Amino acid sequence: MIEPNTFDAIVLGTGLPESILAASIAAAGKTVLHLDAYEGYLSPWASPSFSTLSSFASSGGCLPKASFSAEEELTFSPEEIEYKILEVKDAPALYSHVKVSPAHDESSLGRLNRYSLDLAGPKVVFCAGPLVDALVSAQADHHVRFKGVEASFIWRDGQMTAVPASRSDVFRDKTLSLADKRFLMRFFKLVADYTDSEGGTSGELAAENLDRPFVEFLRRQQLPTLIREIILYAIALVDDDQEQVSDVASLVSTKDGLQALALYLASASRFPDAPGAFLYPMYGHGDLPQAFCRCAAVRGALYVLRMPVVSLLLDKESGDCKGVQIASGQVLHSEKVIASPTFCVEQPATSESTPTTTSSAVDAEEDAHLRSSDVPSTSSERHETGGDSTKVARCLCITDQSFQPGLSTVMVIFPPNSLHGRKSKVVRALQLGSAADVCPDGKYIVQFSVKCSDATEAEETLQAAKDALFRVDDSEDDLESEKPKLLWSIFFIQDVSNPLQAIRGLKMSVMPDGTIDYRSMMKYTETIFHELFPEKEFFPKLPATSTSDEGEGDAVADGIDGL
Amino acid sequence: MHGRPRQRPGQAPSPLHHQEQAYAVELQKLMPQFLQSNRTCWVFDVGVVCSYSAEAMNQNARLLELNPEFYTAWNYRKRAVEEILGRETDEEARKGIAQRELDVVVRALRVNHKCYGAWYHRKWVIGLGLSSLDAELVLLKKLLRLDGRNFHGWDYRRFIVKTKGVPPEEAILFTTDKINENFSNYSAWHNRSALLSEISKKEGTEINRVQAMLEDEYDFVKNSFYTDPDDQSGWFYYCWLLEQTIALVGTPGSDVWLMKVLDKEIEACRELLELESNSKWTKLTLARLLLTHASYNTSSRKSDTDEARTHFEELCSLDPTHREYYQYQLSMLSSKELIKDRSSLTTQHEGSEELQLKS
Amino acid sequence: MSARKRTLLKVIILGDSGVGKTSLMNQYVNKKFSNQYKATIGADFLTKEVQVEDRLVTMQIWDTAGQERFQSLGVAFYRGADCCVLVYDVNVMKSFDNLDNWREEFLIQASPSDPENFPFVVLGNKVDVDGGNSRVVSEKKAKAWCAAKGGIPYFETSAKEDFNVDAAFQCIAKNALKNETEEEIYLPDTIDVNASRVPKASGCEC
Repeated sequence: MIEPNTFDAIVLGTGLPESILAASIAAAGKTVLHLDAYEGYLSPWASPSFSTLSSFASSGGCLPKASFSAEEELTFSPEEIEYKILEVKDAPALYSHVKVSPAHDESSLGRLNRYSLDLAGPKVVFCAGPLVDALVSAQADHHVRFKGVEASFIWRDGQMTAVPASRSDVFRDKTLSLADKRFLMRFFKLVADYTDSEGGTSGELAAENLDRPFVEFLRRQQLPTLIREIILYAIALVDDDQEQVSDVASLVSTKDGLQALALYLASASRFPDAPGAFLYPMYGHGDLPQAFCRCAAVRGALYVLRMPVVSLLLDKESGDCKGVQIASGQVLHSEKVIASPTFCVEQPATSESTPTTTSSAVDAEEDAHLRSSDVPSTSSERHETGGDSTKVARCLCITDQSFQPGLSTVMVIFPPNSLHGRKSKVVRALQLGSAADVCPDGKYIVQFSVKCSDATEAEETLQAAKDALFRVDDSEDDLESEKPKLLWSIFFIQDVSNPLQAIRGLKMSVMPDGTIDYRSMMKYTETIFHELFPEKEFFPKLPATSTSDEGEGDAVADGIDGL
Repeated sequence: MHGRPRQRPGQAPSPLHHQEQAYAVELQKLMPQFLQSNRTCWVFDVGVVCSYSAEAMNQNARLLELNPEFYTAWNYRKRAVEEILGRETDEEARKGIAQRELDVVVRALRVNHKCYGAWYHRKWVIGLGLSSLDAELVLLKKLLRLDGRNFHGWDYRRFIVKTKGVPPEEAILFTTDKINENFSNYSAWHNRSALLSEISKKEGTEINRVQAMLEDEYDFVKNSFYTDPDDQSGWFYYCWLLEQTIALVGTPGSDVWLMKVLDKEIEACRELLELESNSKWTKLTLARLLLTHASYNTSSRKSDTDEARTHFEELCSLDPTHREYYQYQLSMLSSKELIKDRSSLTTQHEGSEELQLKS
Repeated sequence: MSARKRTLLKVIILGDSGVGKTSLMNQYVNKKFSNQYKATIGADFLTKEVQVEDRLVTMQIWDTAGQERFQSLGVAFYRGADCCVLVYDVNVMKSFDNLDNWREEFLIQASPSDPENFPFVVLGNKVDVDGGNSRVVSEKKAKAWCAAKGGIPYFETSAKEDFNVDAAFQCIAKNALKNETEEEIYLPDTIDVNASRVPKASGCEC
């Protein structure tokens, strides 16, 4: 039996946003119960083993659940339930179109237990982004080590061009002309000035110009097309085609574009031993939620894995959230419940779901957040949080060699219309090797993703990207034979939309979206935290400790110690 | 400044896990013990049996870890190691002794990676010829990645490269890597210039090869000021290149080559100036190139000098801090012109003494 | 090239809730004992410097942070351990029976490269309780289990009375150090994101 049975917050699911929330709530001095139906921190944010991913594939896209058996310690005497009970089920069809291209010979894959396959891949972490800040403030940083992404490339005219993203990159780049180098550096300077001025700029960057499209701003800078493309898709990491716009909403504003560039530049210079702006967590992204969970546990959060939740309990009068009932039958009380979008809560009948109107700040925020909640929603209705597509297609591949000899952790951006057949969407690829401890020595994992509105189109797009990077089997071409050979791959489409719900005290977290990093997830997570605990700070900054003076000696000393 | 200050000798190191007080207490305890051992070993010098006991050596190592700046303690170690090595004949054991010394140095460098005594001791140990030089190069790679301009590291690297007999053509690749990592690295550029001199001075190096090498260097360094025209390190290296170029004057075929190089470089600077009309270093370098050009090519002397004068005049307002220097250059130009007007009557050949490249 | 001198050892302590894992750590590192039991809160890991033969090593001892209660430790917790300490309460049979599960769990999760020779140390804690009268697991039985698992070192301890705690941890450090040779050859360069460890700019004084 779980004791105590009342908590300030109950968190369901161990995805990254739920884990960050558990850690931040525990850090705010609140009691937390963290429940998960799965074994070993499995979630859409996890990096399952090869065998787990295989069962995911064979079940058509269901994360394999641990079989629940009430252990001795979980037995309890049932209590009478005085609440309104809403059944909690698994959200249907989070994943679809799951297709595996099996290996001809499984032994060619090496030791299978060495694989960690990111379900949310490809994703990277900005060195100066909010996730790193959260890791440090939560003191979770010593639970995760990172590998720097060694280089980024942009796909152009059938080949890879290095993305010059820092002063040193520009210096050593061999494809840009000297004058182009000057244009690009000047542009970086402009961005840096913009950042330093904190928005108080005039002229080209005057406030009234900031809402205009970023792409127009770039055109006015007279930047050559190649550089414009690099800035848009490989540095600002814009998700949609900006040159030929089908939907005005997908146009990035000058302000957002500049902010993205500023973050990129700040990231590129944040860690002296990181080769670029991006980091990749050793052992895969699945170690990130575990790091935050560990922090939550250290601050007193209670962890129960392999424990399904069967129902959500609401106050009979107000319809407010009051707690959950778990598979062992026990009732656990909390007025604040956070659930992963892998759950689906049966909707209360309309008459009972109407929240009593009060004028508290929480309410106002909540209402603003759930503007669409005026409409009674059904369980199948989900709302999206990013862009025009509610789905993202992902593909994880195992190959036999690096597509960039000498490099292991590498990102490739395929801008719109760069792939065979002029695919209009931006495709991202991330290669990882044994240096990041996600596969056996000599093998590489390449992850692809593309926003998806049509399954066939997405599959064709990713196929084109794979054809660009990997060897076409029966080709006689010498160039082809130097490319990596595709040994195994899995394709699937993941729902990005998030369920709507209107129960006060219940917050749904988010699925991994189609972006390449964690900015939107962090923003959403912080919003949920503030809605639940408006009086508390999200990961208060730690007071500076004396260890900060030791930084230099320490870093160099570690290097000296390296022998 | 490159931001890695050397720890002051008197300053207590900031230990990772210890309270500073604990350090002081331990230091106070070790000091008399060490002085006692040190005295005993002086007695040894006049013929009494010495005890470089293992315990004394461990105490000494600990002492150096606490205070790496304590030169007497390093000297004690040297004498001890000499004595111990003198008694030991087994090669593996001798290597082990040397390795232990390298470890002591590493521990001292962990406390202060700019400690002269520790680096000196390491050189001395390597000089015994009992250690792997490749391992040292790996170590240096790590150190210089963390602190690219640690001159102790660069100095020590030159020492290892020399001891190992690495050809300069190979050693230069390391400077290329370091410059590619961060081109604002005087140490790397400086080391590069030393290695290039070594190559060009080598016996049997053909003049065409030196010329080609210099041309490649011009192309390489130009990337630095097109990337960041305000960064001085590249410009300094450029000045050095120009000196090397001029130094070839007189060797067969070099005069034509020099004019070709100068024309090309003047053009490149003009182009950059078009993009960056206020770049101080570009203007200054262009003026210098023009004056060099003028001194070897009489036909364009007037136009070259006039253009250089304009640049110096603009520099006076652009960079008022060095105004005096620019005005001096201008006055030199005027007096030179007077002399030249006269000397042109006697068609006397002018040398390149007017080059003053260092600012 | 000489062997990498790694001075940091990661030691993890496993065992059922309430067997005294945190108390043992606290007694060893802080020389403190509290009779009051509370499920572990607040300690991520404790560090202590130990002299092992001629080497000074830093031992980082990781607590389970209460996540062991419902077997909710993640694979990330087990990664990179140099030694695994299994603790049971000599007065509670179930805690001894569960040693098998904890050992298995560790070997599966941490998947060390040489599971046969991975260093474990077993501690039978709380030998002080009731003058030893309430004890249900005999030393003989525990030693037999350890022998059957390939000769795991065994110590009987009392965190409360500080009995045998130092000796046990000295052995743990020694065994952890033995394991180190496994990984010397290749250690990928990774990045520490804690900004306070990043060098900051200041004046240069060569």
